[in-house]
Amino acid sequence: MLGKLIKNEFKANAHTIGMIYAVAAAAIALMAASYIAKITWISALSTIVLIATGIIAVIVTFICVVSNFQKTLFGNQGYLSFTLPVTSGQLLAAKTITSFIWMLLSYVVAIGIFIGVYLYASAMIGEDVKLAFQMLTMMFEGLPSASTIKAVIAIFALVVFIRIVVLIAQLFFAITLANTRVMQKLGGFAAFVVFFTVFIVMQIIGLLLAQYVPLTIVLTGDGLFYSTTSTMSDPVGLSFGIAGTLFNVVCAALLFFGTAKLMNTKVNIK
Amino acid sequence: MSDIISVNNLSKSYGSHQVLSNVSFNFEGGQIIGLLGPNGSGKTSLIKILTGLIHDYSGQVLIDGDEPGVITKAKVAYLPEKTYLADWMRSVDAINFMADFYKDFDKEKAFKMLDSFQLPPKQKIKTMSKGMQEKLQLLLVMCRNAKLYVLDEPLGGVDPAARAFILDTIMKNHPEGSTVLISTHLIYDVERIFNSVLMIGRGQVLVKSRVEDITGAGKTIEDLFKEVFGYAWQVN
Repeated sequence: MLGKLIKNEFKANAHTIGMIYAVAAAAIALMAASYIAKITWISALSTIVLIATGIIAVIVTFICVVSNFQKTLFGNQGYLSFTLPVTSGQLLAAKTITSFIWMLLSYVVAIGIFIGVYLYASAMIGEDVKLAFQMLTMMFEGLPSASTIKAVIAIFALVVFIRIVVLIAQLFFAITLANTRVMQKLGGFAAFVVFFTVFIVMQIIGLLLAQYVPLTIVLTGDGLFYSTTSTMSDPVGLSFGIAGTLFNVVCAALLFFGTAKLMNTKVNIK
Repeated sequence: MSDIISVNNLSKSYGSHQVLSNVSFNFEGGQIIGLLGPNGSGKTSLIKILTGLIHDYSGQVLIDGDEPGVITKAKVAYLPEKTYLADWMRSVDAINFMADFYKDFDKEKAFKMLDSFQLPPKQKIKTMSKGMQEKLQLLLVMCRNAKLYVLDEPLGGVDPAARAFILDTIMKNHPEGSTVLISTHLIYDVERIFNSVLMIGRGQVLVKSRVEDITGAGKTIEDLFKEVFGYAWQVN
């Protein structure tokens, strides 16, 4: 049943989000054509459209995730969702997985667009693209080995994944709590307040943990090391706070658990 | 035959407002039951509990021997008052969606009914008229081979011709041996199809009776409804 839920979740947002990616693809095609034909004004216009699409993709995905969760569970569609022969946990899992994939995709597409536009602009003004690539890879020059680079990328990816999951957990919890009978009178404002309260409290605890439980993975010229120095003492360095990351994972799990519990017991579909 | 619905000492309140107070009743399967009561009598809350939409109640509720949950949701076909289908769906998507989740959904029958209801399979639901949307939702519910059909005010807000069409669809398409619970405050149109009635008012069961017992006493359901709730209530 989880697979079927995920399939239908993707269908629900595919139209809106797919449209953004279609615009991005059209802009890329136009850019390529204008580059070959050397029509500068079309090239400039399509570049602007592409950059805007990269930003819009992230914003639209965020809005789609929030509105889909609200509409399909707590709007009229909730009458269908909550009478399907599935558990609340399955409903929540399906929405989390699809939201995670959409959000990750939007970040990847946006970053891809920005790198692509940078390289395209370099090529347009006659810079050597190879040189631009070299500049990008220069970031990794100080690193000792390929395995360290892989480890850094893996840790970076893990941190991004966790950040996305935490954001989803905070959003879903806030929306669900706002739809309980007690909070419902406040409308969308309640979700806004709950989200920022949870967000700020987690940020403060995360900062305190970074200061007082300074367990970090630090990247140096010799590779990756565990350290007990606070990340606060070297905030710009390449270091990953383990305590803060674990705290985020635990919080996300608790928020999902709370959301499922509220969905099961306290939510009121109008 | 065992009870398809069994409710014991059911109470439900929204804050200080009690909507169901110590309600108890049971129904054997294979009947068409009228859940009758004026607006605000607790019919929709009772239905939400039976269909597993509300969990925070006290008392015991059993659907075919199980508490409302995943098992009972697979046995209950529910038609809410609201239009619950997603905007992005077309009729064909809605049919595929139901077939995905309900093993008892008859897809072939659904496409036949779609044709006979003259509903375009590829038209987006959000562009359909309210009447078309209601027809589609009724179709989706009645194409299940469910044990229990729970229909919340299926006749509300529709013209007399549409009422006849809806009742006809329900009568023709519910499988033999299944139970149909119809909530309504429009008694005149539907009383001929009921086997039993449950009248609730102010959160309590006021009448639970077989129709033959009511007619045997020389009354109609509408007469009894007026007797129970008083002429002050709007009946039709």
